[in-house]
Amino acid sequence: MNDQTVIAGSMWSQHARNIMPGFVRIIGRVIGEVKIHDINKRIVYNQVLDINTDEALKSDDLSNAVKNRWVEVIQGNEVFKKNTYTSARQQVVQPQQSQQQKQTNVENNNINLDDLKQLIVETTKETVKAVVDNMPSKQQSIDTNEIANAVANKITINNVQSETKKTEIDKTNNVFIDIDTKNELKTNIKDGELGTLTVQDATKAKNKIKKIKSLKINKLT
Amino acid sequence: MEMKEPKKVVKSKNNRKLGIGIDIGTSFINSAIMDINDEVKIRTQRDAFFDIENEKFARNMLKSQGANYIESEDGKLLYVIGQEALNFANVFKKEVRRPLQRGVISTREPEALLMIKTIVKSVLGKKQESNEICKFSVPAEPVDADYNVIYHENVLKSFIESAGFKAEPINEARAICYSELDEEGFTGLSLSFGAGMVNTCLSYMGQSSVEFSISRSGDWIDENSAMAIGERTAKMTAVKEKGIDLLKPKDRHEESLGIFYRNFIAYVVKNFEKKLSQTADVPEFPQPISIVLAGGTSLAGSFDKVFKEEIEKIKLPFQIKEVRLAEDQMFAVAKGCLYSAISEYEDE
Repeated sequence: MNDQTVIAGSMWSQHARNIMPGFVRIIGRVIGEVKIHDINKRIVYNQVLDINTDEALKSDDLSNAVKNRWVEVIQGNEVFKKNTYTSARQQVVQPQQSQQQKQTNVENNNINLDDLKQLIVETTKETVKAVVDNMPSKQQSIDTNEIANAVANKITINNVQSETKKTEIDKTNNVFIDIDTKNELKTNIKDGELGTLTVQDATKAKNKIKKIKSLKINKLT
Repeated sequence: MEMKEPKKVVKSKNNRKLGIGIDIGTSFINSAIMDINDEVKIRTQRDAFFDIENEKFARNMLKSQGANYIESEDGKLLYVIGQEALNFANVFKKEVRRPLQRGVISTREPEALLMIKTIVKSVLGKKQESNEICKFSVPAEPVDADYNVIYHENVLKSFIESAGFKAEPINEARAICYSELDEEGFTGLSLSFGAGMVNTCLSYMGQSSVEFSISRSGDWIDENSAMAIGERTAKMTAVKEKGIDLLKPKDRHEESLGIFYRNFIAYVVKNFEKKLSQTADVPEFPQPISIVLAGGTSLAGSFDKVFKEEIEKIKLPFQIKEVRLAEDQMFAVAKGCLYSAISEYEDE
């Protein structure tokens, strides 16, 4: 592959990105599923969904879901601010994790550092070689092995672990619905009078309760 | 089982014993109390609602029919709840709305939280004393779905406690163990087949060793059997609730329901086998154990026979003494919660 082809390829992908329709990336923030009816999309808890910008703009249900924090926009938030949308590539913002979630969901901490270093060495070599090969004019010789080894030596178990923790997946309490226990709705229902009443003899029930009690006492003694 | 010292004797001033149980399910909410005349009283409320516009005419109509309703926060709508909601849905040919979905608080219904709070409080009634124990049923973590039940449990706890009770969660299948496996020393396998989930508990002398849930049950059967024959889900629910025999279907509706029932039971059994194979500390039962089936979905005729056929196909680390239906399939969970709550108090 010659330099011109690479440059042309790069230019094409840059222009293609600019003319491609933008998208909004959202993540589900309530346990279960949120349905965005007017664009027929569903998003489940803690999963990511990409929605075409045009669809996102016309969806009242999506705006409502964002407003109520049933979903969180992690990319393309500017779409919801009128006339400020740009198709330029945005940096993806990771949802913030609480300390509790980090503690309860630590995964994949047993990383083999040697394997990781080797992987980075190989990847860096390939990357540096590709960059050097694609330079229009090679002004000086570059040792790809030296660069790769320098990068690998920067890695310690501590910074690997701290990076790993950043990618931990939230699976517990990151839900934003407010629970207002004081708020009451008006109703014509009287306390203790809702529903159909069934009455049963409690002779057997009393026997069972005795057995449960003795079970507990046996365990205590 | 939690190991707690029984409480001091507190003579109840009212006409029921201290301790209350409530089963908060996808389809029904059942509360259970025991009165001083040795009667167990269970209040059942269908967990469904239907909204209509809040107008004077509508309010008067509902009042005249004795229907229960809740007003929306902005006062624009009336939520008719319970059986009347189903009647309205049938008249308008729409589906009823549910505050719970697949066993936990629905995320599709923004009004779900306040709706459940109102229904739960109304079914529970007034506390007998401050911090009276109320055991409420909760599902176990599902093995086949990516959601957890922590939020659901904590919301319900806060609602019950806002009514002045001391709310304590109990796995709904373990509640069945308390209400149905006393003859076997609280040892055996109990399964609760609700509308949204199946909950399972394998216990030895009241001590639970394996608890898990499966996120499909009666609603899944209704939806899929309806889709298969191009029918409305509500229609299939009605056919099912009218009473069917899985081994003797009478028409295409019942045939479709029968096919999905068997598929569903096989799915539950396979998940149970898988879960047991992944669990390290399954107890070794010295004797064959009983399996008890409860919940509304288990009401279908021959349900126990189909379940027995399917469970005999898998390998289990214990022998089965019998597969039987719970004495009280609909209320086994609520009663288990009640028995557990009352057992926290000493006899008066």
